[in-house]
Amino acid sequence: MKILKTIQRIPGGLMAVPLLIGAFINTVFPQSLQIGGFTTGLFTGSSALMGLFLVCSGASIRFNQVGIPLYKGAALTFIKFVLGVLVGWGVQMIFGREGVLGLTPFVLIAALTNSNGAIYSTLASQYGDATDVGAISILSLNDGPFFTMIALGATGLADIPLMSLVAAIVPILVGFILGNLDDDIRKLLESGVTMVIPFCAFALGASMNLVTILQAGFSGILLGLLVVIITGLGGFLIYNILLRRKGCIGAAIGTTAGNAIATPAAVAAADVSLAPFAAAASTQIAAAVIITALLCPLLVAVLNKYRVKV
Amino acid sequence: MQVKVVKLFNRIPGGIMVIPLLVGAVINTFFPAVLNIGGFTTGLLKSGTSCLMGLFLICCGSSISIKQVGAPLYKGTILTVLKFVVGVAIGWGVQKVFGEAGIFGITPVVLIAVITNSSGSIYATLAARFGDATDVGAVSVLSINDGPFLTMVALGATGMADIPFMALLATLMPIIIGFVWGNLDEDFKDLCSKALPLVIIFLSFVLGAGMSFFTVIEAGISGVILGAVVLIFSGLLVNFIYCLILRKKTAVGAAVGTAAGNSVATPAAIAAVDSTFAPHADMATAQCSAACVMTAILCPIMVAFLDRLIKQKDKKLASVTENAEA
Repeated sequence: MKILKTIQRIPGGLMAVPLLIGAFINTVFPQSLQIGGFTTGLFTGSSALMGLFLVCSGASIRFNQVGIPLYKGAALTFIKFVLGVLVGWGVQMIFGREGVLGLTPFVLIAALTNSNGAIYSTLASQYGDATDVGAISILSLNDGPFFTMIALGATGLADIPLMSLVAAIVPILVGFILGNLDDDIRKLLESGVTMVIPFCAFALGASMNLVTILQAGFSGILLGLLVVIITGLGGFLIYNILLRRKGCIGAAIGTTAGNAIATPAAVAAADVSLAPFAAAASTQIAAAVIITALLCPLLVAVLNKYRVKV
Repeated sequence: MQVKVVKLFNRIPGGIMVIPLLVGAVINTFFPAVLNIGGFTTGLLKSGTSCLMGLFLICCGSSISIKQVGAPLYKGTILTVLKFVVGVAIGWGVQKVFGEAGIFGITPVVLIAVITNSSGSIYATLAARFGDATDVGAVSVLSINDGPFLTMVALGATGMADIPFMALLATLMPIIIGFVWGNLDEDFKDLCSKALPLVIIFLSFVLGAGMSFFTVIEAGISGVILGAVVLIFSGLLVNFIYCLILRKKTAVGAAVGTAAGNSVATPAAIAAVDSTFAPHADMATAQCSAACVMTAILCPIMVAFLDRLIKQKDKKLASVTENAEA
């Protein structure tokens, strides 16, 4: 039975299929993932698997291309941030703090300025090259409330999440050093990457509950779609214009990270005037996280096919 | 500049396991803060043990062919029984001869706690290196002893009702998933076998990152003796009997000559059930961790050495028979 080949044939399948299965199991039989030991360890171990994945990716970056990932990462981070801020401020200007269609400027900024590093880098490894994956080293800066806080003017420079930046870079750096010291290690790590992706995606899915989509209702679904369309399609267009290249990687930032669910609470703690919006924002973001995780890989795969045809 | 890291791993006995483990232990002993900076770094390098072990077991499961499903169970049962019997025999022997206080500061309880317990991860990685898929699959049964359960049975501190069925299932699950998927899908089997070295390297590192050389020093000479007892009796002796039972020469049996990291928690678990043991628990914990560190480093070297010895003997035998035939 060609299970692996079949999954790989579906656009973005190596990532999306396990993610969906993980989310489904966690929604319907959550206790089966919590029996403890190595089972729970593996199926909820997204950060270990992500670390492993980054080591493998780091190994594929050649010594003479070390600047490219930094450049690409900075461009992607910048695009995602600017788009999110523009949309948020635009809605604020036109509709005020209550926003429109149930979406406040606050929740828009929180969801749009934040991207899912795991999804970005797995998509980059499938549809881009090693330097695209390496861009995660910079992009991981937005994997938390930091940028949202800046956009909302709720933070001083003291809160720069330097440690989380370092924590994302270390696995890449370890892989980079090992891979460049020894070609055999590079080969070994590169061939392991396909194995790690589906399990990483599964673990990511296993932290999601499909019921949240229903709870958030229409506004949550709309938020998810906006993230995919504005920062996915928008990211794709701007990234290609900035870099003067044709590729679909820019679209891979069209997601909202699971971490963003905590952002409204963190921001509300820093700025009390936003507190009344926090609870609704969290539910909407939770729905957007799932929707973007499913749709973004699809978007990237479709754009990739389209580009190839052109 | 090219450094042949992988070649180095392969040249040193059990190197793919021992070197990352040592590196992990050194970093954790001298710069523990480095491993605790959070995010993916801590997720992978410090707290990734059970995740990597799960991934590892998936790889192992995928390499067991459906035609040989009986062999892992058979081998696993033999190893588990042997390890258990040797541990209990030594513990009770010391109790009979030297009494409760034991000898060299090692109590009978600690002996049983440490010897009846083996590190499933180390066994499985060594089996993957020096044995075949059925040897690795044996870890499905062997994992019963990866915790205080068997120790408590041996000590009579608990009844048979407390069988940690869930723990057993949680260990079996990744093996079964890998087994089913690997047998259905040839591509997945290939993928797993390619990813295996990668997983072993990081798994070993994380195991090392749970250890500290300071505990070895703290436990002093008694911890070292304990480690040596584990290596010799539950490693070499078990392997000897294992070879006799299977009627074949292998070094894999010696791979159970470890004390699992989990066994560090065993004295505390026993003390919670049996208060008369409580005063010994602290010292026992330090001794257990010392034995863990020591066996984790020495057991792979021992197995590799044994493997080489067996292969050399085979070669000599082969050349002798060739000569005789000639």
